[in-house]
Amino acid sequence: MQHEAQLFIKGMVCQRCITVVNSELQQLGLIPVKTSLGQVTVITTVQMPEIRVIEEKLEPLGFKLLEDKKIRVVKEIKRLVATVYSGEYEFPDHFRFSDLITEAFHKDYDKISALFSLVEHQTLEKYIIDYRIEKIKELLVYTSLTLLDIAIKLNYSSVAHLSRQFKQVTGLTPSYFKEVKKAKTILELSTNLS
Amino acid sequence: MHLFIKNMVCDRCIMVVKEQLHAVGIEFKKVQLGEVELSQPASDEQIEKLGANLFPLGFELLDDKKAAVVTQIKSTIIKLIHNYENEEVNQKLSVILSQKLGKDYHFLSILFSSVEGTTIEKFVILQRIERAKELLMYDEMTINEIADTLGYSSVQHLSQQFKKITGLTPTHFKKLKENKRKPLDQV
Repeated sequence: MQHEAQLFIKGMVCQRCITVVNSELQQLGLIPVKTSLGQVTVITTVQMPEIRVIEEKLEPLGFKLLEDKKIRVVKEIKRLVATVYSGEYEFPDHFRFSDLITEAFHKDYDKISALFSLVEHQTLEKYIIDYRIEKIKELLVYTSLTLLDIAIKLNYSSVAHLSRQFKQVTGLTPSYFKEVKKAKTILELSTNLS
Repeated sequence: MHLFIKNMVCDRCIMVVKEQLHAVGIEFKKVQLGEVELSQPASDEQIEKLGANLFPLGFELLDDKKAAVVTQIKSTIIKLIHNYENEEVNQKLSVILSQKLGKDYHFLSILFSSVEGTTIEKFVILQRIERAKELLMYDEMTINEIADTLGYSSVQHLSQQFKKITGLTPTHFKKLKENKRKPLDQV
């Protein structure tokens, strides 16, 4: 199997940089087919090394790997989702995630959302729902919060709304989920003890 | 004793030159862009060998005094514009150059023009546009921020100068798929 990849490298300015980058990549078993200032196409017959490995190889020489802009934006979106649905976020009246996105990226929500779907093969809306459901699970199991508390923390309009969405995604009602988890934990505890 | 080497533009160039110095057994105190400070005088034979080794790498060992001064001027400008030293520069370039080289700016300017066939100012503009290209390619800063970083008074000023040199607007340049950057020693 042959793999091909594009690397974008920051800090390359002359012919010597190209030589140095080529020889470093060869040491990792990558064959540079085309190297220009700032951009390398490599092929390899073995497994592609992790980005981190390449980074560590190039950094002492004063180079940096550039992340693709799209991937960078998606990471930031995910970070934003994580802050908003951390359970600690103070939701203002009439909160809308799309407003937050336009404010943070200075771009139309449509564009950002399209970009997210393109990179993640999942819509941003679906990602947010999944994220919230995971958070509910976490809060159900590890805290003694009631469903009402959780609904408020995660900005659901009502407990009914939360339950319905939970059931839609997981197939279980929140209370059933909690009981099953509890039973499981007790079971694990007792087997550990005996 | 000092050796002057043409076409050094970055840290990798320094690294490569150091390797070559080791290879021919010349001991050095310090290697900077365009300049090597030796700890003890090297023999003619060693220097000739070094010159022969450096040539295929795109460097040139200079024995001409004038060319050495021009190289020093270029290195100083490259360091400033490509921000290798990370220091805030508020002084005029003419002041910096005459301080670093210990010579009158007027003298330097005439010497540069007579050797290079172009002026220092023009060289600075070309280097700055090359830096602008680099930053545009990284796609991390807006054109506004780039203009600010490079010390242009406005985006218009940068765009105008960019278009004059490259024939393209910065936005158009960004959209080009093919890499249009030049190695700094060939600017």
